[in-house]
Amino acid sequence: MGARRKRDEEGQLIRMPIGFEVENHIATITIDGYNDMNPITYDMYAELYRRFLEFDGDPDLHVAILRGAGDLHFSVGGNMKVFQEGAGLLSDGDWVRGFWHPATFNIQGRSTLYNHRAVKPVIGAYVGYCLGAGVILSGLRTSLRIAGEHARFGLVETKLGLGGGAIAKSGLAAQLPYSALMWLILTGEMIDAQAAKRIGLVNEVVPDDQVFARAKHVAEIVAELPPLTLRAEKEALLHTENMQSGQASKVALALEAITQLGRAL
Amino acid sequence: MRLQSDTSNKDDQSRVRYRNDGNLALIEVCGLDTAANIIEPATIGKVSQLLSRFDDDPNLRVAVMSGLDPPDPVEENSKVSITELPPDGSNALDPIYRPVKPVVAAINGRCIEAGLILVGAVTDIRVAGRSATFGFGAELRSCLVGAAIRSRLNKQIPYVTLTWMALAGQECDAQEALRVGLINEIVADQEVWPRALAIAKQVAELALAPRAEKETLIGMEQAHYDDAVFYGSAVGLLNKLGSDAREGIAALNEKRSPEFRGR
Repeated sequence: MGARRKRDEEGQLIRMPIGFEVENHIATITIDGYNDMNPITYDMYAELYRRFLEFDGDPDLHVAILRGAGDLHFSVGGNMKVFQEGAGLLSDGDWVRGFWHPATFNIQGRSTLYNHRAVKPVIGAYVGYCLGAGVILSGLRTSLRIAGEHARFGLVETKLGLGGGAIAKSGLAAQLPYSALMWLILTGEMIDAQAAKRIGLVNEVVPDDQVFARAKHVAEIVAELPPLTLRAEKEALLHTENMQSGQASKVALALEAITQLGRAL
Repeated sequence: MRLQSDTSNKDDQSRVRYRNDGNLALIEVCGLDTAANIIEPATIGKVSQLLSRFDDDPNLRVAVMSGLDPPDPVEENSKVSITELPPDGSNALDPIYRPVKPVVAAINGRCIEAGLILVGAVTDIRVAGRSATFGFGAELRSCLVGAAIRSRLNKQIPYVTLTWMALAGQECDAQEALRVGLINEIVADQEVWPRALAIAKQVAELALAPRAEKETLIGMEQAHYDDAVFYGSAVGLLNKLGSDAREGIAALNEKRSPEFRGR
């Protein structure tokens, strides 16, 4: 698959912060940063949130692929710089305003950027770096993950003196072995694709140039399955996280009954 | 834990040695019964107390836990202070203290019963020697009932591995432990302690950020996702406004190594 970047007549990148393309029940959501590393800004978080709502809300869409723009990287994570007004680091004021940004938490204190976990299957496709907020987004929003052999993953924020909520936002505590997750966050070291597969962060490692084709193929397989059944499975998983097993069983049984009834109609 | 200690004998009390080396706390435990290489359950209580002391000391950043008598390169360091704790009356069934600061485990030999409970319950990053094995022991003693839960391994490793150890009484070798994510790394037996120490120093250099992450994780364990994220974002922002974050971002920008001061 060729580079997806668009350039204007002078060769400057034309930014569509979050790309959204639809083909045969499959939505491809693309993180398109200000450079090949695809750093994510607050505006992009908000746009990503809207795109995922759009995906979940369209009954014609069965599965999504989440990827970085271009063929080089998924995303190096949250940006540290102000891109719009020339180079410069984000100020303390920027960080504080980011916390209070209406796209971060709504008036009920629900986090709009972070708490939306798609109820439909999402496949992450990884080449190059997937760091910081890239990992957080992946833990939160993707359900199947295909990595290129040279992909690298890391919760590098602690190496920058940052962090405090990365694990909480990512949802990875429920996905990875404890010591593997603690290695990532306590050392801030990157791990390669094979290590990511070993700890269960990704499902498959394939040659770099086959990542997007493989993700698409998996998406096609998933898109063929009954969408409401998959949605019921994922909803059951998300809604029962904090329940005791008796309560969780009730939710699961109710969803199963609805799925069965729907099939008969 | 490293339970095969040549120096202990059957008359010894179950021992725990606690030393500080710079900003590291070094905790070494040794079993009472060298033949079976088993740590006394009461040792869990002692280690709990020491970890609480470690958390309270603002000069300490990371702890390393191992069996007694590791080949220790810091042994000759004159700044090292050694504390031998007297036996006390701590109950083996007391809740195990969970430190909010990072703890690295150095594991040699058999890591079973109370040793595995400690590794699961209080350590975050785990380095094991090639010959290490893991299990809860074939005949769980009555005081160790509930080991699968007390070790917190029910939340850390695949269910069937847990039942293999806790119900079938089997042991896993180091390779299997690595595969299921019980440990992070396998190294040659003699490299376990140096490697664990190196990792601890690396984490200690990052100062506050690893601790902030662990604090959110432990503190919000029972919370709903949204609430955990709200709290975690607040902690993250506080961290960002500290001088360490400023130093970290500046160092990234200037392409140099950061020097964190823990503020």
